[in-house]
Amino acid sequence: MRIPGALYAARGRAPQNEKEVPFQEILPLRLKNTVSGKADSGSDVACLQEMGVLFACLKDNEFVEKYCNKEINQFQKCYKFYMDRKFEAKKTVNQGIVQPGNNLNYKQLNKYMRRFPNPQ
Amino acid sequence: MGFVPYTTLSSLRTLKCCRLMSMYPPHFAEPILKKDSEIINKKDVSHVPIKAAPNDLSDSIFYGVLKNKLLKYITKKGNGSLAKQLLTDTLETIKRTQIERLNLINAEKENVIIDTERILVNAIENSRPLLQLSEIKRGGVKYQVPIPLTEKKSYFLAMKWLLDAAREKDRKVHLPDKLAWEILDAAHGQGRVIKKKDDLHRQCESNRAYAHYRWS
Amino acid sequence: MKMLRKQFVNLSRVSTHLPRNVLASRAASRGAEMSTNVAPAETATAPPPVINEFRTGVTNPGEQSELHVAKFYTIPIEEKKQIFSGGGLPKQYEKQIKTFTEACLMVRSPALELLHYIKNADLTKPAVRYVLYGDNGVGKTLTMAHVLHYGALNDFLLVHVPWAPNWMKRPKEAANSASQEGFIDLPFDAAAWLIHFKAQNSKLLQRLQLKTSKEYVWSKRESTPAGATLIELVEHGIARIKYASETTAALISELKQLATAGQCKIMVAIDGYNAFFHPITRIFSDNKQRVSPDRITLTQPFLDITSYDWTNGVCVLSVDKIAMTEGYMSSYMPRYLLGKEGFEHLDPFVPVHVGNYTDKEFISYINYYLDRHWISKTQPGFEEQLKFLSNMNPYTLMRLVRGL
Repeated sequence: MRIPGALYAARGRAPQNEKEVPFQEILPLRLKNTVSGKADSGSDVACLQEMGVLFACLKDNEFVEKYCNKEINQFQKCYKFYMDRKFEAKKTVNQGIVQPGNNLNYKQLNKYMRRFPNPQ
Repeated sequence: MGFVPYTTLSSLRTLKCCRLMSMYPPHFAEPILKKDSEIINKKDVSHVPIKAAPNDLSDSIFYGVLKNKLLKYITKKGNGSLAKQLLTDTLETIKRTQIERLNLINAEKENVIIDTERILVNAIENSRPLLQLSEIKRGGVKYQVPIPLTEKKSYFLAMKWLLDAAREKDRKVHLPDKLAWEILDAAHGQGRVIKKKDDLHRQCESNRAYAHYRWS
Repeated sequence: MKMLRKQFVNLSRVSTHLPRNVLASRAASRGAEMSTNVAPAETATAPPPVINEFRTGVTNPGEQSELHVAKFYTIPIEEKKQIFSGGGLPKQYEKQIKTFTEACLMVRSPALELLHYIKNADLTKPAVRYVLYGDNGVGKTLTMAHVLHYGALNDFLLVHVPWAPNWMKRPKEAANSASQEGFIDLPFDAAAWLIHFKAQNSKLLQRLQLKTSKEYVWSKRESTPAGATLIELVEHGIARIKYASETTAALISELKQLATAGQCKIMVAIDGYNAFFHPITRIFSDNKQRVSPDRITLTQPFLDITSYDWTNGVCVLSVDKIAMTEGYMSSYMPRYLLGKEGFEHLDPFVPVHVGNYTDKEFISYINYYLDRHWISKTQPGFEEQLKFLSNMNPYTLMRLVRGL
C-alpha cells in the first residue's frame, strides 16, 4: 500500500545533529576593515546627449564635418570637461585628506576604519 | 581646406600628470623649447630644478611638434635617421607637387599652399576621427559601442591611418611618394584616409543605440 | 612709369654692391612688383623680364664679368636641350630645373676665372689643360656646365664626357675588343657618347663640313672612305654599335688632326677625369679578373686628346673624389686623385679651385630659393641656421632646404 506523502510532510525533516556536523567559519564572521573603491568610480556614460545631437547633425549633412562645427566643438568640450573633472576627482581622492562629514570617499573611509578596527 | 591653428597640439608634448615611474620628482620643471620667448619671469625659474632636455627637441627651423610626432610613428626598429630621411623626402615631394601645381594654374595662386608643414597639419586635422568603436560585452553579446576619443588618441589615429595607407602599396612605389600622395589627398579632404574616417563615423552613427552601454 | 622702373632697376643694381640682408632685398623685389602692378596695360603688351637683385639678363657667358658674380642667368631652353640633353647637369639639378621651370646657373668666380683664361688663351699654342678640383658638392660639374655653355656659343666643338666613372663603374655592356687583343670594348656606352656628341655639335658640324683624312676599314664589307664627313663617321658608329668604340677612337684622332690644321677649335670637357687613372675598374675580363682602366678601348682616345701635342683646343677637366672608390678618397687634391701617372700625363696644367659659397653667393642663393617658393619657413634667423648647418656648401644647402 502506498502512503501519501502528506503524512510524512507533517512530521518534517529531523534537524542535523550538531555533533555530527560541526559549524565551520568559512568566511570570517565580522566586517573587513576596508572598503573597495569600486562604487566610487561612478557611471562612465557621459555626453550622451551631445553625441546624439552630433549624430543627428552628421546624418543631416551626410557626414561632412565642416557643417557641424558647433556640434563637434560642444561634444568635444563636454568630453574634455568630463575627463578633467574625473582627473581632478581622482587627484583629490589620492590626496586622501580625512575630513569630517558623511560624504566620504573610499580612501577617507579606509583611513577612518584603520583607526577604529574591528576587534579580533 | 580650412587651416586649423594648432594651439591644441601642445597636448602632444606635455604630459598631463606626472608619471608614476618618472625618474624626476614632481617639482622638476619641463625644459623650455624656445630660446627667447616663453620665459615669463626669469626669477621664477631661477631656483627650480629642470629636467634634462630630450634629444629630439630643438629650436631650429627643421623642428615641428607634429612633424616630430609623425617621425616617431614612421620609425621602425629605432632607425630614426631613416625615418627622418623618409619624412624629408615626403615633404620634398609634396613641395614639388605644389609648386608644379602653382606653375600650372594662372589664377587664384593664393589658394595653393606651399608651406609643407601647413599641409601636413591640414591633412592630419582633416583625418582626425571624433569617435571610436569599442567592443563591449553585455549579456553574452558583443556590441560595437561608439565612445568619444581624447585629443591625443585622435591625433595618433589620424597619423596611423595616413601611414597605414602609405604602407599599403606596390613594392615598386617608395614610401615617401605614397605618403606624399596620401597627405596631399587628405589635406584636400579626399582620399582613402578621409573615407576611412567617414566610414567610422557612419558606423558609429548606426550603432548609436548602444552608446549607453559603455563603461570604463 | 618707365622712368620709375628704371629707377628701380638702378636701385637694385646699386644695391648689389652692398651686402644687404634678405629682408631688404625682398622688400625691393616687392617694390618692383608693385611698380608693374600700377601699369597693367604696359605689362600686357610686352612682359618685361623679371629683374631681381639676384638675376642678370646677360645670358651669354662670354659677356659676364666680375659685376655679375653671385647672380643667376638663365640658359635658354633650346641651348640647354642642345648641350645638356645627354647629361652634364647633376640629376638633382635637373629635377630642380623642372620644378622651377627655368634653367638657371649662378655666375661664380671659378667659372669666370676659367672663362677669362680661355678667352685670353693663344689657341695656336698647344692645348692648355685646366683642372677643376674641390671638395664634394661645391659645384665642379656646374662650373663645367657654365664653361660648356660658353663653348657652345663660341663655336667650339664640344668633346664632352658627362661623367667618366660611369664607364668604369657601371658600363651597360662589356665585350672583348675585336681589333686589340686583351682590350675591352664598351659598345653601348661608346654609342651613347657618340649620340651625345652628335646632339651637341650637329649644327656646327654641318656648317664646318669637316672631312676624314683617311679611310677607315671596319670589316671586310664596311668602311668609311677618306673624305667622308664627320657626321657620317658618327652616324656609322651609332648605327653599328659593335664598332662604336673604334669609331670613337677614329673620331677623336680626326678631330685632333683637324684642330691642329686649324679647321675647327675644340673644347674638351671631361667630368671625373681621374677615373681614367684609377687602379681598377668594376669590369671583369675573361679570366674573371678586374681590368684596369687602360685596358678599356675608350680610355686611350680621351687620354690622347688631353695631351699637349695638338693646338686649337682647350681641355677642361675635373677631378672628383666620388669618381674614385673606397680607400682612394681621402683628399680632393689633383696630385692625390690623379696619382703619379695621371699627374705626369697632365703636367703642366692650370688648377682651378672651386670652393664653397661666399657670403654674397649664399645670400643670393637663398633669395633665389625664396623667389621660387622653395623655402617657406622664414622666421627670423633662418639664413643663419642654414649657413651654419650647410657650411655654405652648395650641395649640402640644397639637401637641407628641400624639406623646408
